[in-house]
Amino acid sequence: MKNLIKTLNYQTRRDNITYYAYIAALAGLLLGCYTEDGIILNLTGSEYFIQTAGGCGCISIIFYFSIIITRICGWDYSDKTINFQILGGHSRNNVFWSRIWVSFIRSVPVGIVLYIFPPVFLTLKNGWGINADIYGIIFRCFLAFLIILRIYSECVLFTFLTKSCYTGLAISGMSLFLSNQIVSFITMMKEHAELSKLGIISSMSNLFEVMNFHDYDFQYINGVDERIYNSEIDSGYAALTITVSVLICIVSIFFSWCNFKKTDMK
Amino acid sequence: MEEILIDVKNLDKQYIKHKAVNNVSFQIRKGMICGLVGPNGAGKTTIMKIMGGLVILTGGTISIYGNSDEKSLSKARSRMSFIVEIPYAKEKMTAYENLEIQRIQKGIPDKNRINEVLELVNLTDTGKKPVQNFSLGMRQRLGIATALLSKPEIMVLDEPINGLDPEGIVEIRKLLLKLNREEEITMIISSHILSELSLLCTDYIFINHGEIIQTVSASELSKICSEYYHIDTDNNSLAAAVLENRLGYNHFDIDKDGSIKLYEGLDNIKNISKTLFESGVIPVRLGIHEANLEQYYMNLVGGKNEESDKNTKLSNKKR
Repeated sequence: MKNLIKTLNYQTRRDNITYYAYIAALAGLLLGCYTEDGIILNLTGSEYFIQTAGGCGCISIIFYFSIIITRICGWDYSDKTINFQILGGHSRNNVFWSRIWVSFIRSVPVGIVLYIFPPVFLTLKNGWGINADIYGIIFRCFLAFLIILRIYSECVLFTFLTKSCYTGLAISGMSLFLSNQIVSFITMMKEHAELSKLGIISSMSNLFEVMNFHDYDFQYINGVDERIYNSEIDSGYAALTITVSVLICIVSIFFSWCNFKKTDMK
Repeated sequence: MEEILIDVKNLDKQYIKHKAVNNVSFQIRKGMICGLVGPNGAGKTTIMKIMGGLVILTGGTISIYGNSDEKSLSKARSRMSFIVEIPYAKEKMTAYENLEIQRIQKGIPDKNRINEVLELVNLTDTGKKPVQNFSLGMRQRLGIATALLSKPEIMVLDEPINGLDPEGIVEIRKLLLKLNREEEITMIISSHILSELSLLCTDYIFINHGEIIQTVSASELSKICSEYYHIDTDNNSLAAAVLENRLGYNHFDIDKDGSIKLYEGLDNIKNISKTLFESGVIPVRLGIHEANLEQYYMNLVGGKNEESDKNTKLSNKKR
């Protein structure tokens, strides 16, 4: 399996598409910052987080993930070079798990860094600020991490089921984006607790809901009216998010593995 | 007796609507160059893919180096190399980079091996040209280079000379023969170019409709494809009777067009012609022929296709 991991890393380093995805995700994040009020470098950590986390931050993550994961898991499928790995004596288990490992390392940590780096940088520069409680934000980030794992596993599943990085990318990207938008729209329209919970189960991820901050108050602090956001999250909603994310992660990876083990390679 | 490297027993591959491989059994011994011969769709590539682990068998067993469990088969495949269907490659990478990928995944420590195999297949001057700009022949050479990279003990080659020019075909044939003789590499080769197979193979497996119709060694085949005297007359039935009753020859076949293939008395042609003429049979065509692999194959497959058609018609009638 060590050799397979080395092979996948070698291929990925020479694949321009992964670099384009990385640059596009970063560009999306920065572009989103510039479309918000104010100049980004003057924002506090909390201001930046609230303005971007639920919008361009989520979109960048979804965009980046879809490309990287489907590319690493599915590129060899699309051009059939995956056959060489099985013909070369590697077991189907090793071929599968090497892809899971490399795609995970190249997507999840990088995605988290993309997401976390700007608010961390701004916090170090300008301080956290008063717009949201940091502990609430950290908990939401923990939920976001689990949702990111869910998104990761869903992309893996689509790639292995379709046996193509391009089809897998199309289905992953569109499904993630559309299902998020549709369910967000429904839950915003009704603002009903049950519909929010339905959103967790029926959409492919609830990253937008977790990272969007709707509740706020105005407080007069130091002569300025400040918007203070409620970063706490409903415990039932959080518990359901954790359960569904973990379950779907396990089920998606399991089904991908079963499908790959039993499939005839074309 | 040479060691049995691959032992295939009662191999089946059933798809939803049809059976691609049906009860196939054969053995590959060390040092063999075994030709897998059959028409398109016969099941040759499916059998090779099952050996390679790409297709999962639905019945029977395959054992390689005496082991048939999945873990041992994977290990055994690391001592083999395969070209199955069109050789695949990363299109935007060069030949060297593609071979480097294979070198890493096979755990070959020596980087110089890449240049060695590129030289063996005449692809040293491709430089930075991506594979997407290669001709079919160049891709085939790259596939062969990939197969040679790990110095395998067994090579399974599905139409390895497909797309090569005549010089390339000769080069690859000489290379394969050299590898077999000097490095004792055992080979299973499928090809539609039967004349090339006849120059390479020590054994043949003829396959059609997913079933083995014959296995024969090259030496046995040369006896079967022996010389014969081809006789076509204005009255072939009478000619056959004359051959049997007046000349005492029993070793002959009647061809599909009614003409006669006589396998004995080849040094007595003058007497045969004279006897036929005296019996009132006028020869239309007379000549010495030697059957080759192609004719043998056509007779074999053509005969089995007819039999298969008959069986299909019979079973349709019963319905």
